[in-house]
Amino acid sequence: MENIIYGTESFEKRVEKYKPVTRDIVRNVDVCVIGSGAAGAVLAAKLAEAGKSVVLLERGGYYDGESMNQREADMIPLLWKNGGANFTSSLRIAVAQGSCLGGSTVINDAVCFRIPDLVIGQWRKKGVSITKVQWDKANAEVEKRIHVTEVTEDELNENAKMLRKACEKFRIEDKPIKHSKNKRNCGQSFTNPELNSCVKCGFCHLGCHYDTKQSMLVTYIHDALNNPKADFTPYCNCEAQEITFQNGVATGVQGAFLDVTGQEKYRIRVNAKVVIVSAGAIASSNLLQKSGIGGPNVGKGLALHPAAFVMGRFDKEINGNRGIPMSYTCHEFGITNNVENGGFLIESIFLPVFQTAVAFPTMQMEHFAIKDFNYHTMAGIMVRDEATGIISLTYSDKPKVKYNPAESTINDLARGIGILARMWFNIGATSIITPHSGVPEINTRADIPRLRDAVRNDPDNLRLGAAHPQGGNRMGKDKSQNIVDSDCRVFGFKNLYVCDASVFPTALGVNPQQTIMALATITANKIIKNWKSFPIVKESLGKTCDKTQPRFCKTQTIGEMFAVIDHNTSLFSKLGNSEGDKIIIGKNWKFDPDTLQIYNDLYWKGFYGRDPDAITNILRYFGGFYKKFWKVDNTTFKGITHPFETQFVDARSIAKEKEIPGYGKVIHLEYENFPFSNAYDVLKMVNENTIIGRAFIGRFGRGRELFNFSMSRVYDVDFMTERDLQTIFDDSKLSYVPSGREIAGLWEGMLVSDSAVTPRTQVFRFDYEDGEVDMRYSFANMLVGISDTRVTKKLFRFDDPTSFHDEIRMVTPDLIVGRWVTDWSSEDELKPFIEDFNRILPIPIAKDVGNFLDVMANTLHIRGFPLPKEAGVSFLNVEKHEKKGTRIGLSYLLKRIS
Amino acid sequence: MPTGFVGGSIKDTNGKKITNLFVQAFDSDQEWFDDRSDDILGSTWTKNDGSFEISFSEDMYKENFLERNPDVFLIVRNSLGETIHISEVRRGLNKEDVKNLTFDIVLDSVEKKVEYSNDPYAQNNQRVMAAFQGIGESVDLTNNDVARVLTLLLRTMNDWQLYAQDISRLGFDGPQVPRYPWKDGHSHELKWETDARLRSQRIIRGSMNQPNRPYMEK
Repeated sequence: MENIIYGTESFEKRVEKYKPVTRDIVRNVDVCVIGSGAAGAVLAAKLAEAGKSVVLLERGGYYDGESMNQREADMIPLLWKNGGANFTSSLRIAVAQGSCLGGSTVINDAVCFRIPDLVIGQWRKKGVSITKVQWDKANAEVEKRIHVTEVTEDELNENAKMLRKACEKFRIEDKPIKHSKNKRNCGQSFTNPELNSCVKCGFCHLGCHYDTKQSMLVTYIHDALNNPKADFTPYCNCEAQEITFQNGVATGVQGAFLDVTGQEKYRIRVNAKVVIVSAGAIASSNLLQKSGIGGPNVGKGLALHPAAFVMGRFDKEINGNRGIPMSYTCHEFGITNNVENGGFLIESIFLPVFQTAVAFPTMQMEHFAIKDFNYHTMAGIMVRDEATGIISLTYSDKPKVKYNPAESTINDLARGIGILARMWFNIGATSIITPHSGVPEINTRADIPRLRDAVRNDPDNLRLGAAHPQGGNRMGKDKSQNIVDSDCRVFGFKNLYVCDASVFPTALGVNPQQTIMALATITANKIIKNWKSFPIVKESLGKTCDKTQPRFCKTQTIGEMFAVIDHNTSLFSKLGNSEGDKIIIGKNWKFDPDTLQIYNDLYWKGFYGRDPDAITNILRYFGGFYKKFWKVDNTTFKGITHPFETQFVDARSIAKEKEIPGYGKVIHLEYENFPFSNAYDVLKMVNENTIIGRAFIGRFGRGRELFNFSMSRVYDVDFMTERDLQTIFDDSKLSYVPSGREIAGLWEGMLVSDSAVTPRTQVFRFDYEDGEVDMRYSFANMLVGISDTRVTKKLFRFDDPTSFHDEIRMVTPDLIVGRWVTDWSSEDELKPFIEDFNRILPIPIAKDVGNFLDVMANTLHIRGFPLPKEAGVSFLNVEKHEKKGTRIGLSYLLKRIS
Repeated sequence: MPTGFVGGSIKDTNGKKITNLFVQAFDSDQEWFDDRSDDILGSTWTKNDGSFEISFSEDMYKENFLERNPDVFLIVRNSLGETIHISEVRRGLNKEDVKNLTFDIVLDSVEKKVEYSNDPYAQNNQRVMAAFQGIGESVDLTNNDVARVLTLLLRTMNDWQLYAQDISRLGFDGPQVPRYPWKDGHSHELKWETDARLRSQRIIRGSMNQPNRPYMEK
C-alpha cells in the first residue's frame, strides 16, 4: 500500500510521498481522525497498524525538517497556530500551539513526564476509571516509540546548570529541595542517521531541522506512512468543519482545504465507522460546538498552565540560547512532589530572541539590560492552575477563550516568581528582570516582597505565556457534567470519540505531551477491542463536487465534467416536468427529512458554480433561474427559461437531441424569441434528475462559450425556494409547532430566496425554564434584541419591537422554517415598501431600531444602487391571501447550533 | 464530408501507451482577424494502444474568407476532465497537411499539472494577516485592557525592531543553518560546538537527493 500525504501547498521536494490536492475528495474509511498532534498521530498510526483504513485531517501544513530554518519570522507563521496570534479574549495570554502535521509536538521543547500518580488518583475520584497499571503500560509503549531518555550531563547547557546550582543552594527550613534533569524525546534522525541524538541547537520552538526531536511527524506518522500494510492518508491544510451525525451515530466529517488566507479551495467528505476528534484543547471544543454536539458543558473547564519567566543577570557569560532550552526542573513546589492542589514547577527555559522580547514588558532602560542577552539566565514558573477558562463560539464559529487566572493561581505565580528571584540572587545575580510591568526589574533581594505584592495586587500587569491548554471536553462518569466517558467516547454516541488534552478533568501539572500520547494509546487499544460494536459506514457525498450533484462544483469543474461526460440519451424522454405550477406533495414535490433534500418536478432548478468570487456570489443569491419543459413529441420538448426574481426575461426554447462534432450526441436548446435567439444551450443529462450544461452565443455548433451551469430536480434545503419553505410550513405532516423545551438552544438563521439560501445572517437563542420561553436575537451581528414568544395552534410566534413578527414551525429537532412578516394588510398600504425594496439593492444600516418599519421607510440609510423597477430583490417575500390580504417579509431557515 | 484528419498516440515517458484519455482537437482563432473563440473540430478517447483519430470537415473551422485552413492544436484531458496537456499550435497548414495531421504526445503524468514552489515562506505575510484578521471577534476588551494591550503591542514592536537591528551586537548566535537549507550547502555543526565527536559528523548538504533518505519522492 502506498500512503501519500495530501495538501494544498506544492513544494517540489518532500521527504515523505506528497501530492497536492486538485479537486474535492470523498473517502469511505474505517476511521477519521481530526488533528495530527500527540493524540491524533498515535491514534491514527495505531489503528492503521491494526489494519483499519484511516484518514487523518490536519488544519496545518506538512513541512520537512529541511524546511525548518530556525528563523522565527519564517517558522512561526508556518508551524504555530494562527501564526502565533492565538490569544485569550483579553489578549493577555498568548497560547502557544502547533498547527502543522505533527501538531504541537513539532514546536515543543520535547519534555516528557509521566502522568503523576497523584493526578491519576484525583482523576479516578472524578470518575475516570483508567488505572495506574493501564497508564504505566501505555507510557512504557510511548517511551519506547519516541525514545524517551534522561538528558545526559553533557547535554545540560549553562542555563540549566545555573538552575541546578540555584536549586542545590536553596533551602527550605534547612532542607534541600527536589530537582532533577528532564527526560526528553530525542533520538536518531531518520533523515540524517549520523545524528543519533539532539544536536542542541536551541531552536526546538521553531521545529527540529535535524529530525532528531522525535515528534509525531518523524515517529508515528512516518512509521504509518511507510508501513506497506497500513492504509493511512493524512490530508493537510484541511479544516474539519462539521461532524455529521444522526441518532447518536457519527456518520462522518465535512471539511475544506484552505489556502494560506483561509479561503476554501476544495472540499472533503469523509464517511467513517469511527470519528475521533484530537484537534487539541480549544479546537476540539470549537469543533463540537460548531457541530452541535455535547451540549452546554462543551468548552467549560479550560486550564492553561500559565507561565511566567524570570531572568537573572550575571557577571559571566551564560549564553543561554546555546543548547537544549528545557533540560532541568525544580519539582519541590509542584505535583511531582505531591503538592495536591495547585503548585508549580520551575523549569529551565531559554526563549529565542523575539519570544524573549514578547515575554518581557521592557521599558527603555531594559532594552539596554536585555542587550546583555548572553549574561542572563532564564527560567519559567509553570502553574498547575484551576480550570476556570471557558471556550465559546463567536458569530462566525471561531473559538473565543475567556480565561482569568484564579486567585490561587495568582498566588502560586507570586510565590514562584519570588522563589525564583531569590534563587538567582542566591547564586550571584546582580539584577532580576521580572514578568511584571509595574516592577520590571529588581536589584536586591529586599525588593522581592514588593515584586510578590505587585503580582498579587496587580495581576493584570503580569505577562504570562501558556503552552499547555487542557480541558474543555472533560472526561468523567457523570454525563450531566462531562463530555466523554473513560473510553474517551462522547456521551450519547456509539462511535464518536474525543481524545486529546481537552478531556483532562483537571490541569495535569506537568508538561502534557507524553500523557496525551499514553491516553491515545489506551483509547486506540479500546477502539480496536470494541471494533465489532461500531455501525457500518453510511456513504454520502456530503457537499462535495460530483457529477450527480454539480451544484457543489466550481464553474471550471462543471466545464471539465461537461467535456468528458456523455449525455445519457436514454433519459431524454424524462426531460419534461410536471404540468402546471401547482405543488402536489408526494407526486411532483417531495421532502425527505432524513437527507433534508427536496424533489421538485415543477421545473429544473438552475445552479451556478460555487466559486467564491463576487460575480458568482451575485449570481448565486440574485440570479437564480429555472427551466421548465413539456413534451411535444418523442423527439422534441418545448421549454421556458425564467430567472426567479424578474419576469422580464422570458426565453422560450425548443429542445432536441443532436450530434455536434466535438460534443457527441447532446440536447440542443434553441431559443426562439429575440433577443435570446442569438444564444443556445447544450445540455447533457447525467441522470434522471441532473443536467450539466453550457451556454453559447452565436451560430449553433460554432458559438462562443459563455458559462457552465447545472440543473437539478433534487436539491438540499440550502437551495430551497420561498415556495418550498411555504409548502413545508403549511403542511402539518412536514412541520409542527415546537414546544418550548424542543426549541431551547442556539440556532443560526439563513435567509431564503428563490436562488440560494444565504450564509448565516442571524442567531436566535431560546431559553426555556419553568414553562417560559425567552428569546434573544442577533441579526447580521448589527441588530440585537429580545422578543416575546407565544404558541398558537398552527405556529410558534415571537414579536420583536418592530411591526414585524416571526412565525416558525419545526421540521426536525435541528431544523426550523420561519418567516419574519408584517401583519396582514392591504396591498395598497404595502405598495410603497414593496416598490422601495424592489428598487434598491439594499445594504441597510438602521439608525434607530425603535420602529423598524418607520426606520426603513423614512430614515433608513440605504447604501446601494438602484435597479430597474422590474428587477426584484431576492429575499423579499410578498404573500397574498384571498381573505386576509397581503403581507411582506423574509423567509428563513434555522439550523441548530447547540 | 471530412476534409481534415488528426491522429496520433499518447505514451508515458517509459514508452507505455496511455488509454482512456480524452483528446479534443481545436482550430485556434486568436489572430487579429479571428473571433478569438477557438472552434472545436472533434474529440475522442484514446484506445487501448494509446492511439486516437479525429476527422473533421471545413464547416467546423471556416469562419470567413481569410481563414483557409485551421491552426490545429490538441487539449488532452484525463478521465475527470482535467486538462493535462495542451499541444503546440500547428500553423500554416496547407490542404494536404490538414488531411493527415499527426501528434505523438509523451506525458510524464495523467494528473492535473500543478505549479511548484520552492519557497515555503513566500506567503507568510498573507498567513499572518489572515491570522490577525480572525482575531477581532474572539477579543473582549475593557477600556483598561485596550490601553494595556496597545502599550504592550507597541513595546513588542519596538523591541523587535531593536533586536533585529542589534542582533549581532547582542551576541545572539542566531540560526545555525542557511535560510534555504535544501538549496544552500551547510553543515550540521553548531558555531559554538567544540566537541570533536560532533565536529566529525560534519555533513555538507546541498540538495534534497541524499542516498540516506529512502522515502524521497523521485
